[in-house]
Amino acid sequence: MKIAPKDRAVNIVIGAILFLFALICIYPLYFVAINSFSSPDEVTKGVYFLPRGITLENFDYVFETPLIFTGVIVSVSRTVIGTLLNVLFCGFLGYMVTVKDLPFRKWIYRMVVATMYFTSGLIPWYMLMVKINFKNSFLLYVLPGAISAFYVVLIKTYVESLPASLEESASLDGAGTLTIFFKIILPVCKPVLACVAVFGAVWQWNSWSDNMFLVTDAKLQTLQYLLYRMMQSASMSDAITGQTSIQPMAIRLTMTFITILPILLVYPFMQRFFVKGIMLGSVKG
Amino acid sequence: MLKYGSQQKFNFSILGKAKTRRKMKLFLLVLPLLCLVFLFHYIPLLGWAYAFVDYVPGVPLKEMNFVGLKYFEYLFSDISEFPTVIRNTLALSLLKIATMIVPVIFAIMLSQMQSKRYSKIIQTASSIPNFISWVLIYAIFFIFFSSESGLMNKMLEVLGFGESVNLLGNENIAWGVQTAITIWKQTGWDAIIYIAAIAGIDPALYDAAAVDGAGRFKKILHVTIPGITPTFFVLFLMAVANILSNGFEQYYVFQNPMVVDRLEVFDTYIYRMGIVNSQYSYATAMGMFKSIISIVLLTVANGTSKKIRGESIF
Amino acid sequence: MKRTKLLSKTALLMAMILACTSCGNTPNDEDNSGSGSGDGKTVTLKVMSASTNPNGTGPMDNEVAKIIEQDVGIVMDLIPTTEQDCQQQLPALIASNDLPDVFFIPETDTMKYIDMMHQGGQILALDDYLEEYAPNMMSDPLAQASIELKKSTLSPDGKLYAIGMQRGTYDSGLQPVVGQFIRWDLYKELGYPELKDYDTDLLEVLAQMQELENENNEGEKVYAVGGWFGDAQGWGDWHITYNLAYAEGYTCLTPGDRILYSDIATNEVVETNAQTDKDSLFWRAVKWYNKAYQMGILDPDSFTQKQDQYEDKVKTGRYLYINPGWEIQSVHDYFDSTGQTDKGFTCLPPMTDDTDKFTLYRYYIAGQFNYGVSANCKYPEKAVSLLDWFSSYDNARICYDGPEGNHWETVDGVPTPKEEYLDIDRADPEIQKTEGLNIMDKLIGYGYGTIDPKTGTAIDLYSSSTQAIEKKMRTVHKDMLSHYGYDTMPEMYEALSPGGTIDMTVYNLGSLPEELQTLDASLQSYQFKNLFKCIMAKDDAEFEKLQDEYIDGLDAFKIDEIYEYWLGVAKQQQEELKPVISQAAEALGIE
Repeated sequence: MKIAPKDRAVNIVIGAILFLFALICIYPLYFVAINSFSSPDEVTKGVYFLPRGITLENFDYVFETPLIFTGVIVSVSRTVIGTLLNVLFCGFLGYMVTVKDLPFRKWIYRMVVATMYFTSGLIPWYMLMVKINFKNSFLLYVLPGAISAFYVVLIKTYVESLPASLEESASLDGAGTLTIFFKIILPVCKPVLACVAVFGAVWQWNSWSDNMFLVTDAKLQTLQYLLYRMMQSASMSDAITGQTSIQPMAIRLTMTFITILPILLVYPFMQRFFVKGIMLGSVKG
Repeated sequence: MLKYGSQQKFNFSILGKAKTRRKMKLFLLVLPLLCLVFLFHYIPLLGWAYAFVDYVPGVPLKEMNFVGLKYFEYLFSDISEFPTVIRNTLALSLLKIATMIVPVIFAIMLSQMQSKRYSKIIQTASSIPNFISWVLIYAIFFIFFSSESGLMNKMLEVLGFGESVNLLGNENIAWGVQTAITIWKQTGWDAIIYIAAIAGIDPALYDAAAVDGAGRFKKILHVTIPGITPTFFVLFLMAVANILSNGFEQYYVFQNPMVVDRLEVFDTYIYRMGIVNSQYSYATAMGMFKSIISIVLLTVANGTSKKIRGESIF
Repeated sequence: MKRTKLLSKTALLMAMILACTSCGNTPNDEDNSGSGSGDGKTVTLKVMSASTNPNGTGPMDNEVAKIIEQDVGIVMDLIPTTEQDCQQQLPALIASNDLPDVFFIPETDTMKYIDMMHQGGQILALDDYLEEYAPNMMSDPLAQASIELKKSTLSPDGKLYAIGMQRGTYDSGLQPVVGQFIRWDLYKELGYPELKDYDTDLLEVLAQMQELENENNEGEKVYAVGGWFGDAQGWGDWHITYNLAYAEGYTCLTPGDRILYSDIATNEVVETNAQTDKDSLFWRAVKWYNKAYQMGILDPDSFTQKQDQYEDKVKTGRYLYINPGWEIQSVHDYFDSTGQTDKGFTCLPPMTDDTDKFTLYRYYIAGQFNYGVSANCKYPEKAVSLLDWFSSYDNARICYDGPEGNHWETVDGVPTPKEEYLDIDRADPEIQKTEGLNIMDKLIGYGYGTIDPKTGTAIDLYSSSTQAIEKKMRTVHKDMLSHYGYDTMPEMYEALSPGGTIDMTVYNLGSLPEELQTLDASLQSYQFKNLFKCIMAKDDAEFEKLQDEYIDGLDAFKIDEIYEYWLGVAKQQQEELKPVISQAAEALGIE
């Protein structure tokens, strides 16, 4: 296919705008990275453009944090399992509310959507979790957040935009609901499911407050909570008694770097699912 | 004729029975998920009862002192900062809604890139700010934009501009600055949804448009935009309903004595009154108020959409 | 056929979810209490302690923990928390009757939490256990005083519900915890100009100092004064509450709304509403910062920066006047690392004869951090034994410095740190992990500067022993001593502050009655929003106008009623606590 010169010019302009925007977006990561590799003294003085006093001591320090390796395992597990549940449950529910025969379909959908706007406060939530024995349980990390109204809405909207013929042809073949869901809907929903997976995974990876309130077991501490505790800034009582407990900026930035890095490594793999379009035609054919 | 009719009738009743059975099956399939929703989202709402008592943890509800609407009345009493809080919340939310179009434009621009690799890199890069905590974002903004030691002001000084600009402590531009920060932090991330929606558009539609002689612009206008409109519209309605909750962290972190009058929003206010000052009942009352307003707004917006677009979203 | 498949799938899904939600149903009783039996054997206690130290999570396994296990048969399973987090965690724990065996009670509104737990019958009265299980506390007159105080100020019914840890002081006599620290080397360069008062002289001198040194080593601009006003309410306004009070021997009894102050030396309540009285400590502090702002010696970034950013500037020598004493070491380290060893901060003694008091030692008789024991604790006697273990001077030293022989030894009957101990970095995670030094900071019975009466040395040898202090003495300290003509810093401060140097404030005013609480919460946010406007006034006329507006606006919050309430409680406590205070004073050897 040949490209008209005008088109090429437009491409360059758009490309340049995007490039500039991406550049200012990258800076925070760059800032975090160069500071992680600079010596703590230099970081206090300010490291903005190039690392100074290059060193790995910040990383050494962070990796000496007790429980950090179990923390990584717990965090990875909750991210993987939690995200799978997100995709599966929200995907199924999002699809089901588009199935015309589902009784009370509209009301079910409304009931789910409404949860986005209801906030009950910390204490009722906490008491419920204790009641159902989620305290010090891994399930606390993955189950309560498994169905998120926002994802259901996204998926439902997407499924509705698909040609209706797709599902009809399948049901004429006599396929059951679950078969249709797994064999037809899931594959064509790849872009939106990948999008939900990315959202869900990042949310899971960054969560720590459930850990703080309900998990005291040392073996179930998440990486983020360990880091949260080290990132806390001083209050007067810490400052006068702790003497040592406040972490310097260099350490905090190194910890940030360590938590962002896995996201950026995994992200491109998910990305191809929603950047590349789905060949609907082939499914339909 | 007659025969045919009775045949049809007969078929109907079989279909009807099958249909009921199918409906039952379908319902059974979603029931477990509904139970989860009910358990984790609806049961905790019993806690709203605390808004009507003087809450004491660890004491059975019926032994607490019933105060009726006392805490709701506080909300509207003259000492409460409610009017300011509402003004700020609405202003910031409306700005946020007005700029919802930015990620859409961004996603469309990305889709126009010939090189998929380039578009992927740009997309990854632009989602980075989303992964950085607000506390750190503030630290970075302080380095660049503080009035005295900020790099921007140093640069302005070198270039010969006398007066230093204080972006973080100027209440006249506080709303604008916060909106710009939101755009910077969220655009790349929010665009993911639209990118996914664009990816879901049937390529045959583009081919058909090309056959009709549509150029790039026409294709965007007639294929891409209609393809993502439903998604945009749903997100738009949700944003409208969410008008009272514009997030806690960003405004909490960027608040300082010079701009607090403009950046005190509902969520930070609830936090301050409820958690910091341990006014648990008051905070519950405010949370409840917020939820109810949201549901009302959602219903109204949905109704309006039904009138205008002929279909309701929710 | 298909239907069965479908139904079985549904059933499976249902079962899965039910299994999930009820998974933890297997009773897990050990969870909340100890394992093993109470007598003689080792039990595990869940202890929620205030600490940000990463080593303080889970069952303790280090040298200090082993000594505890040996001595009292307890393994501590630590649940870390902080003041801020605990304010959210504790109400949740109480609401679900799920308190750990021993737990930290937040400093803010301590009485409120105790009340909640008492109403729900969840907190244990410890009185009956003391005689048998708390020999250390029972034999120490200061711990006794602390117990008396808790019974009268932190108890709904006169019984003992909280044990105060970190009694004593953090002060080593070299410098107070909070005060007027100035760059003594610059002051010397100016020829020791006379400082007669805080309100004008100090500002003049600071302005001159800023002219002398307007750039740091890296060429960045230096301001005399800075602050972290950009932080949230309650912390961003810290300077306003404390900078003047401690320097003139007062303490704020209601730090939230800054209405009531008291005299450190006499424990007299200052009977004036600091918010409405324009000559109060509060308004003098606000006016002082306003003047500094007008004179151009207040860092304009103060209004937008947070404590982190403030600290970074302190650490690189960009301020000439500092209030928090705990920041001083870091700036001295910076001067040393950049070869500017002659530079340094010292704390100014009281400036005039009217204010001849000065908070050199802040002595926490009651203990700074409160711990309670759950009514559900299976081994309450063990819990008391544990808290009592931390309450011996010897054990406190073990927590700070490890067992004898390792880092320190007794020389002529006096515990003395070994030479190399003072050179190691005690914050090294490896040392903390294996030796357990200083990681249970807020559980230790005595603050690090507290003097052990048996030996006359400070408990924490690393930070406060004579040798440690000697090491911290700089050129500026020596110069200050020779300027005033004294031999040691404590001696100098005591001589220059005839009105008293020890803050033994014991008040605990609790919380306001229900009907004033919400008003007071709104009052505090009103203050935060408006006091900085006063500081930013362009000239004195504008300041006065804003000040009047501020004071007029206070009426909406029933400020007089709040003041009357606080004053009433304070005066009552002043009377009630007199015997405890004199008991403690006697034990400390002060008249």
